[in-house]
Amino acid sequence: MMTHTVNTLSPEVRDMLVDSVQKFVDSEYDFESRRSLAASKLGYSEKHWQLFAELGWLAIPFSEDLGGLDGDFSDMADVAECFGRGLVLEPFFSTLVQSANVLKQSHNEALKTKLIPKIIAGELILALAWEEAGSGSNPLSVSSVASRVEDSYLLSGEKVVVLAGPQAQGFIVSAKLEGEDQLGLFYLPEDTLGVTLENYRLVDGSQAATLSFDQVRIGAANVVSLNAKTTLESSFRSAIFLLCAEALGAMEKLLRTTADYTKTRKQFGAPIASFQVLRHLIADMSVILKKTRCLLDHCTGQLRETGDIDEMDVAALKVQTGRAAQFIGRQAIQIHGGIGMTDELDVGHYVKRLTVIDGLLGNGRFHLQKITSAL
Amino acid sequence: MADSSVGSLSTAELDRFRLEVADFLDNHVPDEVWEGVDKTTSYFPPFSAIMTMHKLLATKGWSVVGWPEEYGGPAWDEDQRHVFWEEYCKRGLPLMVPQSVNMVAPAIMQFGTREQKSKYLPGIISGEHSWCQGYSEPNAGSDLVALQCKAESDGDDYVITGQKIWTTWAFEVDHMFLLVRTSNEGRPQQGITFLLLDSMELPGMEVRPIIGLDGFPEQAEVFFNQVRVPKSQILGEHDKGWSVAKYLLEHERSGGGNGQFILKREIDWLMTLAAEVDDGAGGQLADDAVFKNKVAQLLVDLRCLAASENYLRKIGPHHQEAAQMASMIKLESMDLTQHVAELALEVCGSFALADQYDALKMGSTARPIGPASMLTVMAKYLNHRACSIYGGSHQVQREILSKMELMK
Ligand SMILES: Cc1cc2nc3c(=O)[nH]c(=O)nc-3n(C[C@H](O)[C@H](O)[C@H](O)COP(=O)(O)OP(=O)(O)OC[C@H]3O[C@@H](n4cnc5c(N)ncnc54)[C@H](O)[C@@H]3O)c2cc1C
Repeated sequence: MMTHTVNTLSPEVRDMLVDSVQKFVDSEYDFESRRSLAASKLGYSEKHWQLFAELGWLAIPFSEDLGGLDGDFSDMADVAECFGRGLVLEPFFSTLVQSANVLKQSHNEALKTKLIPKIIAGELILALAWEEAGSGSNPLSVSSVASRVEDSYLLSGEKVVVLAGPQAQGFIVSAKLEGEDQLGLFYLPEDTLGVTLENYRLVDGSQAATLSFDQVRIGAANVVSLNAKTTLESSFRSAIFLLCAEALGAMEKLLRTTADYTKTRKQFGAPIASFQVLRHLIADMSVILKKTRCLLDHCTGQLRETGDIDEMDVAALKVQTGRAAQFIGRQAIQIHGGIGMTDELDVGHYVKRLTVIDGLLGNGRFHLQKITSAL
Repeated sequence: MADSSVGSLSTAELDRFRLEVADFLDNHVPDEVWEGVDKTTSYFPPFSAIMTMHKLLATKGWSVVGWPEEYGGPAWDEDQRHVFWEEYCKRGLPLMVPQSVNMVAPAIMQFGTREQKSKYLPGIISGEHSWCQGYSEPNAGSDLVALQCKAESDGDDYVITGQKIWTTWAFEVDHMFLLVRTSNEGRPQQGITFLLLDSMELPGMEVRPIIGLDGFPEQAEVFFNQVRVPKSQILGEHDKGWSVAKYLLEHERSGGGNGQFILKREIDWLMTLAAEVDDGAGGQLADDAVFKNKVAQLLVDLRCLAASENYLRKIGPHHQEAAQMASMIKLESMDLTQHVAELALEVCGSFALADQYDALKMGSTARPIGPASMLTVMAKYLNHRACSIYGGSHQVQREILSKMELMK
């Protein structure tokens, strides 16, 4: 891990940002509003996205010379957590976390100057297309190919589970450089000839796509990186970190909702909170949440100090967040009884988001395997 | 349920019987049912698939194989029944509506008048009629005796007012059995009456489907506003419905002894899923030692379940150990069901995250998103959370089991 000086926001600015995010979630993201947003064709609100731009949330990780706030991904943890609490649908993660991260590391200054101000202004939603059917969740296992033809590249392949794919106006796509042991990243505007999208929804109401491209010509101007292995790895790490932060927010909310329910739901003439076996479940939910939060905070500190997170720490964080998400999700339903199984109550929607988070960017099995291999 | 002699067929006869069953199931089941098999995502397969299958089995006299012969069950011994279920469940075919075949029917046989038996049992056998179970209410879930839906006596009728909830398939079936409060005197168990309804559309009745986590309705709310039912619709006696309910609950919990076959198929399915997933290191997950170890543990649980079910079958439902075994089997088989669904999700990772609503609809030709074999993984994972809630939650089940142990 390199040590370098990390630009982060001042604590005051960070607190201000989080405060505004919390206010937004409280006022705009009640369950019914969220439900109708998820059901709409677009799947998020353009009005919200403009607000995000106005409030500076889309500027956090970018450098000042491009109009950014000169912050870092560690500055976005609290934001992600608030989003988790409200099950926010806007494609913040794909644009501001996954794509922003690889763009930041690009040396194509012209492309950055073109794209980043647009992101900040709320005019560009991006998706990072890294995963493939055969990649086994490993971002470095890529079979899409980029072959060089004079100054351009011809791209062929298929990417799966491209988050926010249907909503994106541009894609950053990874591909193996033909004849080299290296990966490249390429920018594809949404109307690029030869690109096809198969759009669908994930079970949590968010949108994703399968992205296929056959002999798609990419000019030098749209090359993000020709040396993308470390970029992909480090961006994978910070994306996992922020996804876990979001999960923490969702779990916190779910535990609160469930604990409150045990105090009001009565059976056998008493609140069900009076049954010791349920109180112990609440205790276990609380413990698993707390220790996962401590691990997340540990990673936040590392990221803030060094600009990166240790690979094993990230793997542990993803494994542990998955465990916590499963445990808290399942017990939240169990403790609610029949009502927990319905679409009508928010509980199931939190469980679905947590289940999706557990399955994205390598699930527990994948990351446990990573830790195993390092033994 | 049936008291038949065990092992009266020779091995060769039993093999012949197995072939006959297998031949019928392989060659006569219509596509609609197989579609239902592929789209089963909970304990309950799609309703239309069940009823099509029920009617087909009825043509062979095989729709109520657990029933005593005198009521229309086939003249099979225990071994034949076992073989039948093995062949049947191995193919993932839909089990008959349990509320009809395994719940209300045994209760009618035990408590029904001669008229009630001849009125209701033939419709259940043929599949012309199907039933739902109206027990739970918003404030009477685990604490069932707290039920408040009331039936007031008015001449030869009862007038029902109140609400039921979580009634599985109330919007599909045409009959309902329910518990109503007919008295507030004495212990709460004493004022409950068991009623049989001949229709779901009686004046004053309203059924509202409840959408589940997978986006489909399976349960419903049922509202009663001054619904008139003749008193001849009582099963058992006025104010003595609790003993009928308890009898029926025992039948509900003991299942059919075929959890072992259903779960065997689920574990096989898990293996086929793993054969389709790259392990990220050039191999298939199916060959991964850690994965295989997890399956091995499930297989140990499966053997325990099979042994337990076979033991219960041997001692019969009236043995002193039967209630405890039934509660234990409910707990164990539901846990195993959930664990298999959890591992399936783990195996499929990001492939399982799509909302497959369109492809899961019966009659829909929408393609599954991602690998077709993984169509049901997420919906099963979500729906099977109910396994530890319905039919007596895991907490309630453990409460019962601990009482039995502590009373010894
Ligand atoms: C898929 C599904 C199908 C169903 N089908 C039917 C049907 O066809 N007909 C019908 O009548 N009902 C049906 N039910 C209802 C089911 O029987 C109830 O959901 C169940 O009895 C639990 O009641 P509840 O949902 O009100 O939860 P509650 O009783 O409110 O329980 C909430 C939580 O408290 C726990 N708890 C309650 N009491 C205790 C205690 N004493 N000690 C410790 N913990 C306790 C429970 O275990 C649970 O975790 C169905 C339910 C589901 C989910």
